[in-house]
Parts: sequence; C-alpha cells; structure tokens
Amino acid sequence: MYNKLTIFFWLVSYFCLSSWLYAETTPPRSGTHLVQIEDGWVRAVPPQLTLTAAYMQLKNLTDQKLTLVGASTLIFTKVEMHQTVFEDNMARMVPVEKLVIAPQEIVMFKPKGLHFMLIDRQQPLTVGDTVTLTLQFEENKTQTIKLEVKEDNGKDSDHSH
Amino acid sequence: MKFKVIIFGLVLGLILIGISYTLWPVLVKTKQLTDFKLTQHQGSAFTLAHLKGKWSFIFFGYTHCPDICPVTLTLLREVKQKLAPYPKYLADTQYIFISVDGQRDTPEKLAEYVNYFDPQFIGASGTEPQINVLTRQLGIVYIRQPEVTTGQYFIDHSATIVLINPQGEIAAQFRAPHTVATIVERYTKIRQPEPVKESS
Ligand SMILES: [Cu+2]
Repeated sequence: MYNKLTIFFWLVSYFCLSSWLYAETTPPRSGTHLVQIEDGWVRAVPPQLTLTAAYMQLKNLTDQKLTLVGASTLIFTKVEMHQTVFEDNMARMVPVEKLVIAPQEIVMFKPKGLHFMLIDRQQPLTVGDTVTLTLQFEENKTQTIKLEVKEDNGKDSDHSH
Repeated sequence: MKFKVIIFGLVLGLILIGISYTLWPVLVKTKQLTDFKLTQHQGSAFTLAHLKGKWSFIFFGYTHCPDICPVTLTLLREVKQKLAPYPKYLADTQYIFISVDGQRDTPEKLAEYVNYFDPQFIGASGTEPQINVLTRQLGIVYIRQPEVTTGQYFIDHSATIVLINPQGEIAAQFRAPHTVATIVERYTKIRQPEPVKESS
C-alpha cells in the first residue's frame, strides 16, 4: 500500500515538474500568442484590381525580440512588407526584408507608412470578407491572424502624426 | 574705411533689389499650361480645353498603386465633401486622376477605379509621350520599377496634388503628406477673392 502511494506520488510529481520545466524552457510555440493584432484590416479595392495592402497594429507579446521576415496567405500569391517613403515629394515603396520587434513593442502598419503588400489576388474579395494571413518570424515561428476587408474611411490617414 | 563698407553694402542691396524685381513676376506668375492630349475614362479625348472654365485638382498615380493612390483619392473625396457648404465651389471644381501607367490602365480600368472613389471623378491616361507632355509642365516625376512578378510592377511617382485654375494655369501645388483641412483651407482662400484677370 505504502509502496503504491509512493509510486503515485512520484509519478504526479514527475508530471507536474516536467510540464513546469517544459513550459519554462520551451520558447513560445508557433501558432499561438507571439503577437497581438489590433485594428487589422485589408484595403477594399475595385473588383478588377489584383493587389491591395494590409494594415494592423502589431504587439510583441513575448519577452524576447521577434524578427518578422514575411507573411503568406492562400488568397494572394505574394506578400511583401513595404515602407512608403516620401523623398523630394516622391512617393516610393521600399521593401522591408526584416522587421525586428523588441519585447512588448508595438509596430504600426498603416496607410502612407509600413504595410503588407498583397500581390496577385487568386479569388474575389469584398468588404466584410476575411483574409487569413500567416506571419513568419525568424527561427521558424509563425502566427496566423485574421484581417477583415474594409473600406478606407480616411481616418487612419488624418491622425498619422 | 567704414564709409567704403557702407557704400559697398548699399550697392549690393541695390543689386539684390534689382534682381528680385526682375525675377519677381517670373516667380509669382501662375504658369499657363500648353495643350496636351490624353484619353479619359469614358474613352473620349482629354485636353487642356477640359480644364478650362473649371478649377481642377489633379493627382498622378496608377491603379496598381496599393497605398498612396487610394489614400490620396479617398482624401480628395473628403475634400469634395468638405466643400459641400460652398455650393458654388462644389459645382465648378473637378477632380482628375491621371495614370502614369497607360500600359495597364486602359480607359475601362480607369473608369472602374475612379468610380469606386467617386462617380464624378475623372480618370485619364495615355501613352508615355502623351503623359510626359503634361507631367513635364507640372514638374511631376515618375519612375517605373522592375517587375515583382510577371506584369506586376510598381511606379515611384510625385505625390503632389496640382490645382489648375479656370484659365488653365497652375494655381497651387499641394505637396505630400496631404491633409484634407489644409487643402480645403488653401483652396477656399484662393477662391475667396475671385482672381481678377489682369489686363496686361
Ligand atoms: Cu507597398
């Protein structure tokens, strides 16, 4: 009897301890909560246009830096990160290969600034539809997020300073 | 010695006044546009004659422009809405989107694009030489970038909104980044004293 109880005790301890150790030592797992997305949206464009942009507020929830290297979706063949810049009054889009996000840092993807370019649409999209985007980080970390297709109400562009 | 310095200063001052006096009219005078020929979204010609008799806000871009062009057209739509209290201005103001990508932006595509923002917006484009006739007069620059995927390319372009008066002259240039409030304010200020035609 005593023996059985001891074994039980050890087994329980083992499981508790191992799961605790596991949780402590494993890095944040993919697909879960690396980042928090707020105000995520995809710009609604005329039906025949095959490309558009996606915007969001992205917060690094982890206590380590995250390096965003790109994104993908089934709805567009290509996704690129761009930064719109104004040089000599010229509007240019500069590709962003990597984006380092410090722990707890919030990065804004917004009109006239940093954005995800969604290229070569594969199926029709209308206002209210959802675009599932998989964010890719260094070290093979990923997180899938959902963005709603919305009309630009112009609000984002006005208080951008 | 001190006397010489004063004389020198006076002479220099006179020269500067002279230079600015002769240059002043050139710098301030609104620039009269010469004719150009583009095709508008409904298929007909779009020339200098279409700018005369109206105030025109012109923005250059291309429909495959995913960020700055929709932002600017949305802004122009808001400018139009903000002018609602001035029915007089609303009636004689037109908004023109000129595509610097005539290759992809056919009149049909332009029609769908501008209509999406406002059914009253005008879209126009043409061949590269045709477009350049107008862009060069307005100081608009555009540079086509290499293809990202087949047939998919971006174009860097001036983000200026140009205002043309009913005489077909440049009345104002709004540099980016734009705000609805500044454009409306400057525009109504320009319109306030209706420009008196000089008889010179
Ligand atoms: Cu872009």
